[in-house]
Amino acid sequence: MCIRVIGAAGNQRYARIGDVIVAVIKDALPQMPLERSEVIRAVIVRTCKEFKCEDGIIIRYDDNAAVIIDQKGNPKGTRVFGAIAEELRELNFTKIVSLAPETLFIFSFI
Amino acid sequence: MQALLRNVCRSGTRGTSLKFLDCTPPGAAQSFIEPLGPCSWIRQIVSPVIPHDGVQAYGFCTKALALRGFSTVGAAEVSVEDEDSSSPMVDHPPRIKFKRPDKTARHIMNILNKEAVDKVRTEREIPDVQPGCIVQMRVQVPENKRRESTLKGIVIARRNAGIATTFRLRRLVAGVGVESVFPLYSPNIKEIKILDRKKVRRAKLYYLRDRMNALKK
Repeated sequence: MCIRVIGAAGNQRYARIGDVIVAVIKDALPQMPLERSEVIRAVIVRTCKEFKCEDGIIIRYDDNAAVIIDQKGNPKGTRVFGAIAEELRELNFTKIVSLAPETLFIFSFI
Repeated sequence: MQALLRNVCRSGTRGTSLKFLDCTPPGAAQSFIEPLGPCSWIRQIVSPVIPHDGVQAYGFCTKALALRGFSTVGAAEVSVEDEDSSSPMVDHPPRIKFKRPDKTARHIMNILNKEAVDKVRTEREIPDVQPGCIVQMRVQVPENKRRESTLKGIVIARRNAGIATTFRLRRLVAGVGVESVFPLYSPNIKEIKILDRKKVRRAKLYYLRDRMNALKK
């Protein structure tokens, strides 16, 4: 569950793809390094809300997803599921993009 | 009453007070106060009778005329100015409510739109993409790499807007459903190929969001 959007200005209420958020774990599988009610940082990679690109293309995923990262921006896990947008590479999340099974280039393409 | 006020407001900067006063009998000035109660910009008349060779306009004329930047100083010039299109007593020609269709901006924009669409159509061949088509397209992304990627999915919606016609493509990417909206006439779309047409009874197939089949939907 998201607690706070990091680096957001006062009038920005909601996080978008590529924003880092502070979240708390509500539910965890049993034998995992992270447990319930731990406060972590994560970067949002997919949203159900549409994202608009400059060339008029709008992208909308079917789920909301985030990747748990540490303070520096490296993912804590070793695998990432689902499609990731290439935009994250420019935001210095290159490790996440390289782990992704399929990346969408510039928010759109396989 | 309203007509009188309209006359006042319409007439030119000079000589308004005189004209106004010429219209009204002096006794009627008293009766002006009550109906004008609700108007906030009208103050009560200082004195009901206003001398003809008085230079200022007293009473409710002042505030109104002051708001409009009028000054009634120099009331010797009685003539209405030329740029004022109407003199108080002359009727307007009957107003036309609608412009001629050729002159509306809407008409011109339609023509421009059509021209732009025709221009794009002569350069590339764009098939008729309807909801229910399974479509494969080659898209080029100019931003980072000049690579062409192929996308395959089902068209679930189409929005017609001239040159800005868009269609919504839904596809499965790594187990996640992704919907994208593409402008039909975008130069980044190199090729669109229709693979299959499914029979649908709807223009917008949003119900497919709940039906995530494993196959290519």
